[in-house]
Parts: sequence; C-alpha cells; structure tokens
Amino acid sequence: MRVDVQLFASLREKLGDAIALDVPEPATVGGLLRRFGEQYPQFRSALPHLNVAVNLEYRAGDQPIPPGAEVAIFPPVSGG
Amino acid sequence: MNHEIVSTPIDMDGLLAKVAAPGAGAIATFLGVVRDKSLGRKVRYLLYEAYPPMAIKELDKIEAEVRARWNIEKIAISHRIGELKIGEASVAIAVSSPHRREAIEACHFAIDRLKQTVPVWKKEYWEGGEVWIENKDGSTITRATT
Repeated sequence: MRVDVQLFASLREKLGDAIALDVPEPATVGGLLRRFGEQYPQFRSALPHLNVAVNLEYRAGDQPIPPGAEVAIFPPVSGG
Repeated sequence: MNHEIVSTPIDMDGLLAKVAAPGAGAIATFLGVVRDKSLGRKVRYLLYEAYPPMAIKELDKIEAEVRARWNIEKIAISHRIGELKIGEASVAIAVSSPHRREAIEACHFAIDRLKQTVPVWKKEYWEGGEVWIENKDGSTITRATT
C-alpha cells in the first residue's frame, strides 16, 4: 500500500516535506518504519527514536495505518 | 480556540483576555524565551517549526489533563514558530483558577507536558554552526502514551 508521509524538522530538511513509501499490507506503523529504514538507510540508527503520527495521533508498533490516513514521521519534539 | 500556533509575536494581553473569568481569583502565566547560550555555544537565533493540526490537538489534550487534575477556570497556550531572536518569547501559557495554587501547579504541569508531547521543533543557529534540538524526554514520553 502506498503511504504518503509528511516529514518534519531534521527529516524534512534532509528528505523534503513529504515522501511516498510502499508499505506491505496490512499496513502498520512498524511496517512503515521498517520500509522507511530500507529506503533511507542513513536513518536506520535513528529509527528507535522516531515518532509516527496517524491521523494526528501518536501511534506505534502493530497499530494499523488505514488507507488514505494522514501519516507523519518526525524526530523527538523540542518545543517550548 | 484557546490554543494556537502563531508566526507573529505572542500577544500576552490577548492571552490574558482569553483566561479572564468572573470566578478567577488568580492567573498564573509562563513565558518561555530564547536564551543566548546553549551547551556552551553562543546562540544567534532559533528557528521553530510545528506540525500545526497535531500540535493543536496535543494542546487540547493538555487542557483535558489539566482539567482532570485541577479546578481551573480557563487555560490558553500560544506557541510561536519561525525565526526568533534572543529574548523573544517562543511559548506562553496562562491559567486562571479560583485560588492561586491550582493556577500555578497547572501552569507548571502544562509547560512540562508541552515539551514532551507537542509536535514542535527548534533549530539552534550559533556562531559557526546549526543543529536541530531533540528533547531527551520527547521521544520516550510520547512513545509511552501510544
């Protein structure tokens, strides 16, 4: 399943505002991150620290990515 | 909406007006400002970026958490994004409550939580370099809440 992913902060700076990942079905957050690591091996060591949001909510592990969901990957936050 | 991501200077008078309430006997405020030093480096300015729709949603959750724990009247949070100079305010929180303790404690909780969960990032520009900042508790806490 093709998933369009928004990127932020250091990821956005290096890869652009958005990327498309072909995630094996059934699409999960874990599967998305594995695919991200395969497509961009330079970020493999950062994978355990990356956050995933599905439809504006933090999601992880085997939580599903529904078709058409708004998906984002981003590094640890640093607001304030 | 009481919570916002803005690209213009934070309007403290506007923020205070948002938390005004006849039942309020106290208003506590917190202002986060840009410091000139970080890890021994001389900071020139900061660049803030946000994922606005999710940031607003997370700010609404902080309000819900605050309301579950303290008897407050109103809370308003404003986070600025874009380029900020030394001394400029990046974030402001105002909480009103019948008595002072609730407002002060809720305000303290809200800024701590914001730094853990709200999708905003800062990049430091210093003499001779630049780096994206990642909060140590940013990732662990957000993962723990999933």
